[in-house]
Amino acid sequence: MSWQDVAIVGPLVGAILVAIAILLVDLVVPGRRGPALTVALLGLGLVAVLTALAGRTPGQAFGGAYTVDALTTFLDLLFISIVGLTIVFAPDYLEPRDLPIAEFAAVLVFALTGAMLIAASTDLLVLFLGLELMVLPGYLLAGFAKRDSLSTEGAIKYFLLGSFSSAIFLFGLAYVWGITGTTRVAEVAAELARVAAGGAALQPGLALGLAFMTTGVAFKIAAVPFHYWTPDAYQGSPTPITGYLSVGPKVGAFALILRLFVGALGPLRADWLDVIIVLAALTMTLGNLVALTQGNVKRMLAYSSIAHTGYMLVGLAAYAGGRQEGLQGLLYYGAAYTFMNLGAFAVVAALQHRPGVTSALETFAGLGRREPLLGILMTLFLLSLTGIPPTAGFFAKAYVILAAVQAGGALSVLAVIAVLNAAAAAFYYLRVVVYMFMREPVAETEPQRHSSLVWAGLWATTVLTIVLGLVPGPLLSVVTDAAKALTS
Amino acid sequence: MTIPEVIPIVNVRWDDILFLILATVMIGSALLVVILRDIIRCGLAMMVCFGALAGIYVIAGAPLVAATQVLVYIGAISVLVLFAIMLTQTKAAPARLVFQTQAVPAALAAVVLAIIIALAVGSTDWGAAGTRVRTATDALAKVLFQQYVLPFEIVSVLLLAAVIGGVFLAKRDEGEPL
Amino acid sequence: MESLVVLIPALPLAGFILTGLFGRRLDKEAHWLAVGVVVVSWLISMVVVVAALSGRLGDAGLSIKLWEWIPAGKAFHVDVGFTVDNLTAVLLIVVTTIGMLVHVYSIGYMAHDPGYWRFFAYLNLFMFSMLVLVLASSFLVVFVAWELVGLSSYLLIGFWYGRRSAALAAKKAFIVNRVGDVGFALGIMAIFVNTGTFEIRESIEKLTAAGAVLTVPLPVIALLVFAGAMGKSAQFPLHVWLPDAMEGPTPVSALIHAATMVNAGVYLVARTNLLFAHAPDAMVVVAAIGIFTAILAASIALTQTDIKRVLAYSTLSQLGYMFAALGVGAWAAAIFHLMSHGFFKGLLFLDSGSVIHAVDGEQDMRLMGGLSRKIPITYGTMLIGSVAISGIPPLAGFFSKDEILASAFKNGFLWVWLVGFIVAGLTAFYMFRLMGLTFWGPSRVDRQVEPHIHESPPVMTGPLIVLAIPSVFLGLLIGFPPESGLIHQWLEPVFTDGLEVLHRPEAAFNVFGIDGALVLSSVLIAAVGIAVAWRLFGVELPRLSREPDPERVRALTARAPFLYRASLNKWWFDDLYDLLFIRVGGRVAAFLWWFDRVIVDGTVNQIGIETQRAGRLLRQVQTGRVQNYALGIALGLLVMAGSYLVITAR
Repeated sequence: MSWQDVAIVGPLVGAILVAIAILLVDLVVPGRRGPALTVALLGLGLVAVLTALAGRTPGQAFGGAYTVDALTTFLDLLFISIVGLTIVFAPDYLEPRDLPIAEFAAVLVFALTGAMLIAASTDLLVLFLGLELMVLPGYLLAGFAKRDSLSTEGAIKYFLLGSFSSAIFLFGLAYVWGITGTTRVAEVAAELARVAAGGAALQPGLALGLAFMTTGVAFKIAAVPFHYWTPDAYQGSPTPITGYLSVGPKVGAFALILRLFVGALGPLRADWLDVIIVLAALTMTLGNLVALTQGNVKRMLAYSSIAHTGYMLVGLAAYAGGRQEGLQGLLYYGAAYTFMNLGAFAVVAALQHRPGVTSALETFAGLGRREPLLGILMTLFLLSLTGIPPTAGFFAKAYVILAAVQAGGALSVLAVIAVLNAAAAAFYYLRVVVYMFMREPVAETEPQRHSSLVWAGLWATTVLTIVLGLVPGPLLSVVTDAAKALTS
Repeated sequence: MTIPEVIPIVNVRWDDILFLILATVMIGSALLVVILRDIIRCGLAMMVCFGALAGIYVIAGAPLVAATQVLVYIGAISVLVLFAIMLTQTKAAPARLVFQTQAVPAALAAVVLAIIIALAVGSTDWGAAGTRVRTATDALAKVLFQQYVLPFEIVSVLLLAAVIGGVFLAKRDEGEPL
Repeated sequence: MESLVVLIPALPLAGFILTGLFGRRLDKEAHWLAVGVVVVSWLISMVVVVAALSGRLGDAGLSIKLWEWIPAGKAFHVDVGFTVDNLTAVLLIVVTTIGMLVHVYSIGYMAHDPGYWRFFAYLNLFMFSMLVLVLASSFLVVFVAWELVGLSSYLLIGFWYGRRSAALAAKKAFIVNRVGDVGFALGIMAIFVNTGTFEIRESIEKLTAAGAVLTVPLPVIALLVFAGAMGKSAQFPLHVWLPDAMEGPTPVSALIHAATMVNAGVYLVARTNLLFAHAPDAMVVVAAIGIFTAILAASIALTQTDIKRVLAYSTLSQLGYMFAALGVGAWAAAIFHLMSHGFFKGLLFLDSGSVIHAVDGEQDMRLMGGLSRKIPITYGTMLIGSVAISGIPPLAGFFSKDEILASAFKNGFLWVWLVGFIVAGLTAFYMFRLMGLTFWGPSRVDRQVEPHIHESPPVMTGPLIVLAIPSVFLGLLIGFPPESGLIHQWLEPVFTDGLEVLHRPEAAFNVFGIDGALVLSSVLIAAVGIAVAWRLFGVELPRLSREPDPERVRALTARAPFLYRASLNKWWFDDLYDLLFIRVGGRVAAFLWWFDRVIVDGTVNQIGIETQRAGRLLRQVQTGRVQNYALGIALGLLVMAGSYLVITAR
């Protein structure tokens, strides 16, 4: 370990310090939202700057276990914005329900360190620890409303099943280690390249390892048929946390997929391609069809987030089918999905500002008249989630699907399935729009006041949702570099 | 007198025999953890399971891991679990566990999975991983603090996060009844 | 010139944004901004149109690159750009002119509506999207605009969302359109796979280049593009949304569902004519679907009693004509009919709006009658529109419709001609049935409403009169002499390559030969249609008058009860779709949900619910649901392990 190592892990250390600082501040001035939030947001800004600085000098630390490259920087900044936005949206919801904000922010930043670790790790063991560090706060957050039995129930289920799947995943890693004799991603990839080239036999144990790892990861991204925990955990959690859970751990798990499946297991992609295709098709279709029947917006968004996992898997499959654009599309989709989905959840959370308000469709009736601006923003997010041009969601979807089309073969079938699904998704997203603008409110409710923090966050997500759709060029360059850093 | 490496008549190595015994104990006790209805007994069976696992670590040539297993899992965790059960058990809570609603399909799935794993592992050439090594403690320390220093440090952050979470969940709110 | 072209869609967009933001404050003055931008946009388009049609922009037209949506060097390179050629110019005339008139008309029609500003904001949004659609030079941008017109149409159909039927109609329109959109999206994808570009002109050149190697065959691409066109232009079997769309305010019906948006499909096929020329089989499909829609819709229009629905089915039928023309290779005739139909159908719809306005919102023609003297301007202009659509010379409809029928006949599509010929008679009949029921004969208007019947304000009648002018003279102006009129000279550069592929040398028009006979026959059948309608539903013209004969109508319908009921019930297509998609589809989705919740979730759900009630948290978790989830994961793992072992073993 040298000073250069320290510079490279600087952002990670910074994030850990931010988490601790939040707790310390809460210790000094307990129970006030201002100081904790200030420290959290300022700290995250600082970490973002550190990340950008560290990203200018790519390099490795800890003997190749920790890598900073274009992909790390892109993912880190994405994670920081996810956590930052969640911290911005949550206080309005948490405060009226007497839930502490400092602990919330601190735990969230711990999850961020886990995600950052995943993004940078080029060692299987670090990858696993990063994953655990990312999801462990997730279990806690799901049960954050500890007096609400639904929240606790969802959290316990999430925790039990999450641990189960982590064990399965670790078991898979052990197989890979057993066969390749190393945990370093580069060395694993080299060894497997030998296997793929026919230099060594593909052992049944390796196939088993692949199965275990795919299962573990599929659980974390909530791919069908490993999605059972999602509706329960999402429904029970406080709404802003649901928003975080549907984005943060999912994008983080996709980062894991990139480092593990593309980085370490890339040489075997011909072998995992078929499985990913089937997973993607199932995930999109079931997620969408079930979302169709939901009468609760939060639950609908939960199921639809499953469908979005499917679209992202299409990008992965396109990569495995030989198109680098698949990876670019996957990364772009991750960014677009982050902002539109967080935005949509933020609106739901803002509506539930007053305790006792449900997220049922009826809550949205007449919103367009009651709070026109909120209604318009929600419409934008929903249109983007549907994939209506010219929003970010459309571009991301088009990019991923076109990559699959270019890959050809079974992937063009997958592309057609994706298009059909995108069309079907319009129904349930637009149902909310219909309720907002074309239904009279069930009970006359007063417009609610939302803090300027929430508005700032909403505007940020709105602008990004539009800009990523209209001017995709800059981000496209970034994800192209990121994808190149991973595969070269 | 030295014991021969291989048992004369059946022609099996001693430590293989030992492994078989320990593995049987481990699987058997693990099954008991799942099957038993009395939660205290489940906890005790779990301790046996951990103990057998520690034995396997010794055979695999990792005495330090075995020692840690005994100290942490049997000594600390299991005892903690038993205490937790004892302290939280009230008359209102069920003393017996009743959730065997899917024993047959679960057993089937487990058996099939075991067969698949056994077949796959059996037909795999494990190469270097298949040979026995005896890791000296100082060598382990070197690996841990050089090659794997990052994971080692990360674990501490993971534990910190877990502690904070645990404290938050367990903390009693002001005014909340005992 | 370039900045002028950009201004054409930019102005309505600005209008939409400003009206959307400040409309609430402007309230009843909201129209100034919205109408103003559209008028300016119209003026600019006229400048551009004149430049284009006078040949100053060249045969290939003017191409403008706005910005690089996806920069070069990336996997896909997409420019957002506009192209103005003569086809675009013709469409610009229709869209901006009728758009402007409808905007003006709406000032009067929507005057008392609480959502006044909202209406104008949506209208501006529609204008923007529609203009982008006709101007765009890339398939991807066309698709963007395609979705946007769909969205604004959705918003406008559901404008009176208080009515449940309006909300349902909006949804139906959206869903049905979505089906076509999927086809279009797949078509664009297929084009991209084959050519690697989204530029319309470039990709079509590559697709049709001699010896091109295509992964997706050309007829498939053509049919996928046509699927998109079918959705927007409401062709069978995607026709069901258009009649329901009449739930929207009447100006919307006139603008979107008669004169502009529904023509988008016709435009798309005309734009990609070269593609279709290379896929003759696909063209036959286009012709067949077009002419079938024409007769299907015409037969339904015969018996409808809602004035707007008659017009809606008539629109369907006329759109069918256009597709038939596209299918037989008479592209210029199709665009000609698009143009003339845009004007007279826009006029008819605005007239119907004026009628509805006069009788206090009533749309049922059985509760009208005898309105001719009370609302004379509306009556006069509607009569002009009806004569025009019936195909009586020398009004606009005669020239354009006759060209379609003549081309079908001469290009060897005898069946298309024959069906089209019958439709011409039906058209004349149902239009004069509408006139008879609405304007002539005794009044059946509600007693309460009767004294308040009034002519619409000048802001509404003005556009009617303006629209009546092209309905009368357009044909003479650009369609005469037949098959070599101005419109053909304009569109010649656009279609010349396609016509070359089809090998259809234009035969000279022969008044005393086959052409004369065809003209005579179609005028004759129109006259027969009108005469029959007169006999049954009455007429009151200055020297010509006849009482309606309801007895005879009843006797006639009693003689063919099946046909009558079929027409009245729209050949039961709505019921069929309801059964197929709403009932069965809903069942499937509900089943999947049930499957996920009940089977996957565990049969112990019930126990879960009951324990929840008991409020025992730990017990809740132990009821088995988690175990069921875990079992599900384990089973998934099994399948996964099995499939990996199989995959890697090969």
